[in-house]
Amino acid sequence: MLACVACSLVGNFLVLRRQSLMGDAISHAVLPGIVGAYVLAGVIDAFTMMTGALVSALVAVMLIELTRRIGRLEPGAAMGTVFTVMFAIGVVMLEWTGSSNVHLDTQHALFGSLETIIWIGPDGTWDTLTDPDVLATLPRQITTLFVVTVLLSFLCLIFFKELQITTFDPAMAATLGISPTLVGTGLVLATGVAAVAAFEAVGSILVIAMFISPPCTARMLTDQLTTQILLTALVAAISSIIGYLLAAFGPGILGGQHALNAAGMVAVVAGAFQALAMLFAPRYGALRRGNGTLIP
Amino acid sequence: MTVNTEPLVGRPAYQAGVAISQTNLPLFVGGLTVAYDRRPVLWNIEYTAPPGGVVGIIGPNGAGKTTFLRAVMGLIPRLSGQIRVFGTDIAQQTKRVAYVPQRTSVDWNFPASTLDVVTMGLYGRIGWFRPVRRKHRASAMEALDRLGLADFADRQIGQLSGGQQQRAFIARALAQQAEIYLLDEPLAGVDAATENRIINILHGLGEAGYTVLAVHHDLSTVRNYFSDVLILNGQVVASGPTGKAFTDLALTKAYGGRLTESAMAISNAAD
Repeated sequence: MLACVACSLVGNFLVLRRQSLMGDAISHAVLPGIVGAYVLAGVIDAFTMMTGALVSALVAVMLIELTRRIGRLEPGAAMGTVFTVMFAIGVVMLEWTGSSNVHLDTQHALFGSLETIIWIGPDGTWDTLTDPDVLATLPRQITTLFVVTVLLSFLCLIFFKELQITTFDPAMAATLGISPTLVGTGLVLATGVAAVAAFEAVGSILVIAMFISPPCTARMLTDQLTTQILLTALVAAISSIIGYLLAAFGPGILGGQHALNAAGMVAVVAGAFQALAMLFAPRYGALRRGNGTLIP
Repeated sequence: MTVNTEPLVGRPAYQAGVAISQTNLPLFVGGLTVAYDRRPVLWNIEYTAPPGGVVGIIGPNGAGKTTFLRAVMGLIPRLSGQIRVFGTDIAQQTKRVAYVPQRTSVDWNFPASTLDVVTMGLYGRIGWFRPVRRKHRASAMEALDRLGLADFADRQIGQLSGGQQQRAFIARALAQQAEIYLLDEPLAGVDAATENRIINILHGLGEAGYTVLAVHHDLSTVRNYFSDVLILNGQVVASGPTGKAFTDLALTKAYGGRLTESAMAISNAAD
């Protein structure tokens, strides 16, 4: 759930900047950085991973920009080539360095392992939640995600003005001394942080869904950027809870045997929410569109 | 034309609110050359804008009018040349210059209200890490009111008409409280009433001693709208007070064969 909120916050600005695929690109492109950092440092803690990932994200952005200029490609094509190549390098590095035995493996990278990080500390009563000894057994991923989510919310808040103006009118922002390149790079780094924090828990596919889907759902429901961001977080949180519950208990109810992949189910629910919003949103929904001007 | 390039900023006359006198140079462009992919678009532009002037920038398509504004604002790299605003390099004077891009340059589906957009004009003044306060919104509201858009403050910007969007952009520039205004086709696609309204605002700025430069296409209205002209065609074809610089010779030079007979007739009729 934290993963979904973290990614969807950043996703708001990516979608509005028509850079939705940046989330996709960055979440893949960070892999070589993570593996590289692991090989160099020999440990796998949040800090090493983040550092590696940030370096990777920066390299990816520069490569995308270079590819776009030198190859004279549209941004989508440039992103597509850079992130697949970087991801592939990451996979090769994984196998080559043997680090796949330790913790990282391809399957894990793609689909995540939400199920494996279930917190079994508390014994089901709310009292134990406040017990520090029990809290200390929180899985590492959850602590990381919590810190990242708080950090990103905070950044969204202080840089709201700058994110807003560089997204809406970069030229105007530049003339006011608010560099769109600087803010854009910051946004990409935030994307990298969110992607890394989330991908370990939920895999790179759900990460992409969360970058794009909740912001698009929220966009259908409001014309206010602040409202949109709050709604996004809400949609992301609700999708993740419903998705998780469906994955865990849905098959049982339907007579199936195994629990489904939770990450996948969360993405499906988020997609369903977006479809509902597109159909029934008060102003922009396809079935309710009065004098709306958004979509042809 | 002689140009005084000594630093003028320190002088008391340059404090905000003091009327601009003849000796001050709001905007000086010297030897400006800009190229896209090694193909020069602007070549050795020398230009000094008059204080209190409302200047029409005219010239055929591809003459580099937009490029000129963007290069002055530092939005595109220049191969050579200097831009001085009140005697200092423009990089240190960004707050004193307001830029209004073409209306079509932004995505109007963006989730923002008219007031939000006009408030953006104050972001440079508010600065990093500081939130928008009520007084900022009030001052943006004033600017909106001057353009007759107060009733549309809460509308999502995509629901405004083209003319209203253009006015919102101009309100945003007014909110910046700059001393030089650079506008890229402020009259493109607006109706006659809006056109009048915008021109009146620009004239008001000129009378207050500010300098306005606007890219303009309709040759028939140049004489009525602008005190000065800058005629471009990759280079400066002519510049100066409209009465002197806006001549058939200059227009023929700028537009060449592309200026149709009827356009010439219009420019003659306006004499």
